[in-house]
Amino acid sequence: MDKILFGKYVPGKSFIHELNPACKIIISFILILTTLMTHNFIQYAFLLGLLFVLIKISKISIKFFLSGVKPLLWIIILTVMIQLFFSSKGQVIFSFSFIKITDYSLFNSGLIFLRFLIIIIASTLLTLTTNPIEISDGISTILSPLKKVHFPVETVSMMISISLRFVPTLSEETKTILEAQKSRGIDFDTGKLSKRIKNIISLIIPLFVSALRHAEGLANAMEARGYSTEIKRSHYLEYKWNLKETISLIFIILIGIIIWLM
Amino acid sequence: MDKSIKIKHLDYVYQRNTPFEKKALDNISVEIPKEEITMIIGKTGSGKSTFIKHLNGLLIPSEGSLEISDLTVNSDVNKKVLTVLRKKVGLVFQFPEKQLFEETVIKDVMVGPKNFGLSDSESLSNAREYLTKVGIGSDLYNKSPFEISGGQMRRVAIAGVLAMNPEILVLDEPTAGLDSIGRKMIMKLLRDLNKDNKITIIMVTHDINVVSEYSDNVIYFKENKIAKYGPTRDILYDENIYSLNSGLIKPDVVNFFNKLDKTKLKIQNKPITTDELIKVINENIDRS
Repeated sequence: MDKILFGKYVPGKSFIHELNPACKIIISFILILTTLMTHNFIQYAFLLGLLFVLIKISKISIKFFLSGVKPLLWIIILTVMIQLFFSSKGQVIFSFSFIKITDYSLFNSGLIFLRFLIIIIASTLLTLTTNPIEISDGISTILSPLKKVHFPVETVSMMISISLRFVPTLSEETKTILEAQKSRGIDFDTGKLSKRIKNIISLIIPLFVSALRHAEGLANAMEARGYSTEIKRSHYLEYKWNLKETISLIFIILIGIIIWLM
Repeated sequence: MDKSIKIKHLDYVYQRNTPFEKKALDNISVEIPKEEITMIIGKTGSGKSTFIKHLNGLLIPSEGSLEISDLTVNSDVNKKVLTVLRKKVGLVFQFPEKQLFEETVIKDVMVGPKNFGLSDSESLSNAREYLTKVGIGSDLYNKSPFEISGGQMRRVAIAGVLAMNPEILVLDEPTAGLDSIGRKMIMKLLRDLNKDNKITIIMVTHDINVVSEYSDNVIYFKENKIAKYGPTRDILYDENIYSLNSGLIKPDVVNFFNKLDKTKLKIQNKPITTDELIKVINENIDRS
């Protein structure tokens, strides 16, 4: 469980760590957008190359990064399998009872695999180099124009930062409950699938109970310290938008357009 | 059969090969006698909880080994050994009420025994026996575990581990967050289990008065190592362990005894429990 890096933050002092969070979020967004708008392997190879360079700049070890992305691979593989087995377009290469693999589905699932991988790497890079407070501040900066139409920007950014803040807490909690249930002989790794699914209940119910308890405690603590949505809040951290942010953004936009046009 | 739990040169490293890598246990060697109560003390983060997770195979040593009633656990242990180990060693986590999930109290207590292969009727009789033992009346058996009070939930969770009939019971701060009566009930229960059912008790605690009142042996953890280990009386009267940054304070009985004028007293054993202290005082009152 503690191998999943998504949502974790590794403090550091690289160019990427020190970039304005709003800028970083926009850059991740552009990368994801580019990924969604491109449709061939060469473009994806370039995007992966770009991400590789960005990870290098962030000074996070590639080996560490990949070992953290690995657990999420299963989710990707599952999606790819569905795409692979249940698509009927194109020429059939291989068939077995209801499963048919066509050249089109093979090509397509390859693309989907890479697309997923790129999106996960890009967003993991963002959360690894930006702490939750910065992310929520960044989002609120980006959303701030919406204040004019009475959109509750502060509340939304608070919600986002609390969710991000509780990812590691709940994953710790999951680990503890998992260990407690294992100690009672509940087996999550072996045995029949139906039994294992049933065993998951012993994990989910306590987790819900604890999430609700956390929520209640946090709400009380916030109210006790005078939190209110009607008050205008100031920020301890002020972020500057300097030349390096502008240049980084233009650079990424240009690369995005070049890859898109390829 | 060997009557002790032997731990030899145990090392444990958290999250190996990541930037979060941390050595949590450093060359731990200790022999814990069976059928006695051993308490583990030390500051938060000194390795106590990591250590006890090794006792039922939730964590596997990075280096070194454990020998627990004919089972040996080391870095390349077989998974089947761990299942046997988990049946022998019951582990009660900190705030064990978090692990409750079944629809009723009785069903939740039966989860453990059923998983370790007991029949439904055996599980039920075990569950009844231990619920009675922890002081949960039959009127609560069919209630949801989420309807009862916090102290009751804790006791139900402990009964859930006891119902597996473990030889060794390991607990992580079982009295944390309970009121004084709840605390006393749990400690009395553990002592009875030790005396009547010959269960070996190993527990982590931050309450030094619980240590002095109930334990036979003490293991003192400091900076991921065992700094001191021995019979409770020897440890608690060792002035060295109360140094400034040890995080330990003297138990009330020790404090009281230290303040008595010992030149006029006739003492056989330095007292560590309240009863022993009262005995010392009474004997000396009789004499004068």
